[in-house]
Amino acid sequence: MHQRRPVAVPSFIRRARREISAHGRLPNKILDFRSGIHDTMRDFFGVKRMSPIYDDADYEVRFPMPRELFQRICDDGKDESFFQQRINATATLQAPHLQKIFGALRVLAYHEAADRADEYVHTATSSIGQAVRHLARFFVKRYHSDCLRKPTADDLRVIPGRNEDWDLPGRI
Amino acid sequence: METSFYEDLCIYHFILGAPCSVNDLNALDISLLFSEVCAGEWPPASPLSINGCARTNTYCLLDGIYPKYPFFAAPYSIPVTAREISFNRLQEAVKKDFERLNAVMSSHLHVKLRPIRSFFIADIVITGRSVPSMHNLITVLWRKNESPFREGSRPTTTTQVFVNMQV
Repeated sequence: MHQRRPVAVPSFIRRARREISAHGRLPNKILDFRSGIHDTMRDFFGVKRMSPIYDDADYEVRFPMPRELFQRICDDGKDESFFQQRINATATLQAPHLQKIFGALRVLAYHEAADRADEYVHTATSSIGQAVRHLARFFVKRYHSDCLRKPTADDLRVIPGRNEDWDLPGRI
Repeated sequence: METSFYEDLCIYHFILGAPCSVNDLNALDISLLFSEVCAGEWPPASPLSINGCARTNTYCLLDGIYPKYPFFAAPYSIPVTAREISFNRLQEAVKKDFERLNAVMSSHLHVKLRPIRSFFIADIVITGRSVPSMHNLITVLWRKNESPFREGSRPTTTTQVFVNMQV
């Protein structure tokens, strides 16, 4: 029977894949997830019936999107297996979905370094790096078919007429 | 990345490719949208009259070197008459929408300018594919409830421009 040869993987990829708690590795940093999520909620969404520190104008400077869209992404993405809050082998809670999406969106939107997010959402660099990949995959899976559609027959009935204002009738 | 979009910067079709690997004609060749156009499946016939002449099919604007199909309205390469010159001027004015899309999309998602950040090819492709859908979401939402913090008002007309851009 034909036996598959093991795929040759370069050593630096092999090392990157082995992100597990093993003997001989450095201990985990004690990242204060609770304060990270509290600060995020306090700054942008408000906690304990207090209004958020930053209003909509500040929000749209810090994020390239309206607040409703960010909330929608959070609501849609919280059921993804990666973005769910997990409990690791030492029975401690990991980062919740809001922090991962928050950090990953800043990386996608402003192309900032992944460890920059560590300072304000208190999430590890490697988690943000993974979250960026998962968020991009989530966008494609969830929104690609909804957002990118060809103009339908109804659209095509309306669009060429509108373009007469631009002296190019019949253009779509 | 080759994109087809309305004038309010909503993308509805795009192709991704490695920089400088796909030129205009190859992009047209692999485009699913254009293969539907060639097969006659899209766009549906919508009769209209232009300057009194009856036409059945719509057309779209483009830039670069493309074959002379009736679906495309290309600018004249050497405009001579006043009518040709004014058509070229109009066409090039509308083509600037492409630069507008480029600027707006990269301001929404800066990762569009540097999609090679990821290590693996699959991640690079996924990142590139996620940009237009995210951009569309943002554009549509801002179009629905216009934010007072954005300057300028949204355009009311809708057009489509075929453009080719190198990421």
